[in-house]
Amino acid sequence: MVEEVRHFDFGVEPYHREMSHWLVCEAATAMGYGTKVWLYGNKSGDIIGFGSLGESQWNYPDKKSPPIKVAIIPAIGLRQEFWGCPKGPDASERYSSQIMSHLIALAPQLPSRPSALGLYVYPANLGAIKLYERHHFRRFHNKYKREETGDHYHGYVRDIS
Amino acid sequence: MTPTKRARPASQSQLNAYVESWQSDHHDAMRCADGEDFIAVGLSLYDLFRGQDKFHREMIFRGVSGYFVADSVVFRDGLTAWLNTTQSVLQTQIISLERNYSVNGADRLRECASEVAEYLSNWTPPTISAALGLREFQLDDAAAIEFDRVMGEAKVNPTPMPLGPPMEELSLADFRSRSESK
Repeated sequence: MVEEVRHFDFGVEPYHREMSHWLVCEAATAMGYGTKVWLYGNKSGDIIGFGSLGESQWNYPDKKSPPIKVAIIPAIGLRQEFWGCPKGPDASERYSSQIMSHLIALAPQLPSRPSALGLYVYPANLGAIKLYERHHFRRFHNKYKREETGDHYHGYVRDIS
Repeated sequence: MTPTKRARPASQSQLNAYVESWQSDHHDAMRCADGEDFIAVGLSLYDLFRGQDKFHREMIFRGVSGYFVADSVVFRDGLTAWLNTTQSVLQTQIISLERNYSVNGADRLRECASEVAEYLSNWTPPTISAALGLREFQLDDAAAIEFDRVMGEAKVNPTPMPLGPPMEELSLADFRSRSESK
């Protein structure tokens, strides 16, 4: 799979390139820990992007509260040449929406049967945020500082029960 | 989030017993039953070490444990000792037994040895996940309250799930062959 996707262009911003890097360098490791990864193709036979679905655990500050098992979208990407496609008035038909719908529909079936689906997004990635909000993700007070770069990412979550 | 827990390395004693049993009893191992006992111990140690190594790596991947070089050295040294002993016995005693007997587990032990040899030759240090979502996360008070609020609101006004038929799933090879036939 890696050779197939190595040249894919998910955009030029650093947060876009993080997705390419994840797919090429980390997806296989994550799959070894239960994360699922899909490549998405259209009817013309093009691979248009990828999506992934994994599980994690969020711990409450109160140690007596049980940890929350959450479904996670670790990484998702649409090749730049397919952004905004297929053209038309219905945003729900866009490839990006179809990928999100697929991941949301499968998330409750993960082994821990999670009731929440979360993701992290770089705050400047406005296109992605718009997509997530259209799919009923809500930002909550959950900022994650990536120690390696000092960048802050925002947590989003939605109910999937 | 601060990684505080350290992975616990595998017990060295079982590995030592495995290595020493071969060194002291190699004449007895010529007997098939002993050879099969040796293989059974080798396979169970393989499961133990690979399982612990995988767990150790996953804890680092998820940000639960920090990366400590010393821990990884213990796992690598353990697997290396296991591999050296296993290959040595496979190439001498077990081959010798297989001239006259069908030795249970020998093929499986060879597969495991081959897999460990490849793993060690391509070994890289464990790393934390680049995808933030795959790291375990400690909610602070404000985040916990907001998370509960978002989920509580969804109980009152359920969040719609996607409608429509599920996507067709194909292997990459099937997708390629279907595309080429068009």
